[in-house]
Amino acid sequence: MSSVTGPTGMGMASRLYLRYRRLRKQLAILAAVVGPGIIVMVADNDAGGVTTYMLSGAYYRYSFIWIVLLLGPVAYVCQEMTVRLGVMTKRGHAQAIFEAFGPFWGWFSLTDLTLTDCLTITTEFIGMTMAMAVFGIPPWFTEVVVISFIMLLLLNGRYWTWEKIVLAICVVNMIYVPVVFFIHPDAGAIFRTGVVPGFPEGFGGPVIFLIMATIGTTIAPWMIFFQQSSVVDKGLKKRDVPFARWDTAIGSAFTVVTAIALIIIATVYFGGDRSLTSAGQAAGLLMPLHPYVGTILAIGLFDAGLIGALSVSLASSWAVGEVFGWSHSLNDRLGQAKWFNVFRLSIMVIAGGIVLIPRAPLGVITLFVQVIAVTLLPAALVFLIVLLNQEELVGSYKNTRAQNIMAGSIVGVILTLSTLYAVGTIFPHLFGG
Amino acid sequence: MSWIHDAAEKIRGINRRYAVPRIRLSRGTKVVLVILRIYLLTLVGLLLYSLVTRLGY
Repeated sequence: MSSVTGPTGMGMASRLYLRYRRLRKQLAILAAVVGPGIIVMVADNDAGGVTTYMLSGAYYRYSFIWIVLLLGPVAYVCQEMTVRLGVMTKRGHAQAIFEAFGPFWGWFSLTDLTLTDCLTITTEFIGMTMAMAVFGIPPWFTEVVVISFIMLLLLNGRYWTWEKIVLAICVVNMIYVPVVFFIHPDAGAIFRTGVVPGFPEGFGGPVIFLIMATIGTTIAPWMIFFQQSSVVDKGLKKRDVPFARWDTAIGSAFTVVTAIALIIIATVYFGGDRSLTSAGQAAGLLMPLHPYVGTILAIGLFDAGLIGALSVSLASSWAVGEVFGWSHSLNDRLGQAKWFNVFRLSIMVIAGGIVLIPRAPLGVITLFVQVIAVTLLPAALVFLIVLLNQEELVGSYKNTRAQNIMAGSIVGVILTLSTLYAVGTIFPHLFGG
Repeated sequence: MSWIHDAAEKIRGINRRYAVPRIRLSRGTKVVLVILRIYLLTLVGLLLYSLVTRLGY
């Protein structure tokens, strides 16, 4: 007892109290800083991502779980660099490229990003309309409601409000996780065939293609542009960097957990079924047999498409706004950032319009969106590493040798695989597709 | 058609503003950028070829 009431005990009590206060203060700062990292990572599991994970579960059961587990840290390494670059330069990625590398690379990045984003939003609308079609809602109605909602979010003219609403939408993306506990998957099989690395049916053909699609959906160019601009718009400072790293790490964990849940659900209900082509189709097939799971799958797919459309449309609008010198902050009211909002509305209307065109080549669009993204990804990652090595730009937040080796290795692997993926998409016969 | 003229002027202005890269690139980085340029041009060429043949033009 003396150690509690005596001078030593008092010291320990006050130390504990101080530690508790410091922890509380740090948690409060973390709560204020979280946002860009979680949003970008959750948006990573967009409509295209949900379909990719569903197909990998349906085609190869649990075998891709270890790849998803590996990709979580890889996505963290790439996105963490955008945090440091954004905080230190106070520039979005597009503007940073223009300033550092000149107009050729600037225009290339901006054009490719805008094209990719427009096509990606098309795939988000395909996912959302398919999900709502399960409930009998016509595609045009879904699109009008979604576009109106996205634009209405800007009415408030405050980044903070926008971010908190989007974070709430992000929570819905985790809807798949509780399902896993109710469908009783084979835990032994998950560890045996999912966590232990291996390639089903060898390393070739469609396996390579699906692995590349998984990488393509986990690390995308728009994510780099989005998080850097988001960090700048939010006004994060140098002292916020450690918390922004946590934000990115938490987001990365969320995305991995959701992706694994999707693979498990797909394995349980469609394991071995090679006729499945999309998450929307999966939701429709499950409705008559397992209405609760079908409903959750449809809601989750709609939510994934919504987060994707919200974030991807912002990534290119921020980028174009920075370069053209338009007012481009979410803290600006609708009228203040007129061109920024007109641009954002335009790409959503174009993307939504493409989905509604009768007999539009949606399959070709879905396929090519990944390839076009692949053309931008190596450039965006190389620029990121080069910029993070400029001491005059990022000061003490310059990449360390270890960070360069890690980032360089990631770029090397992604470059090789994404090139194979692009070539495989363009010439499917090369991989026996 | 004055908006086309305005847009072209705006783009020229952007090109002028960013004409001189603001960071000093090492020889290695310059070589990487040239390789990247060739890689991207090849990929874009293949992509356009495939798109045209797939859409049946």
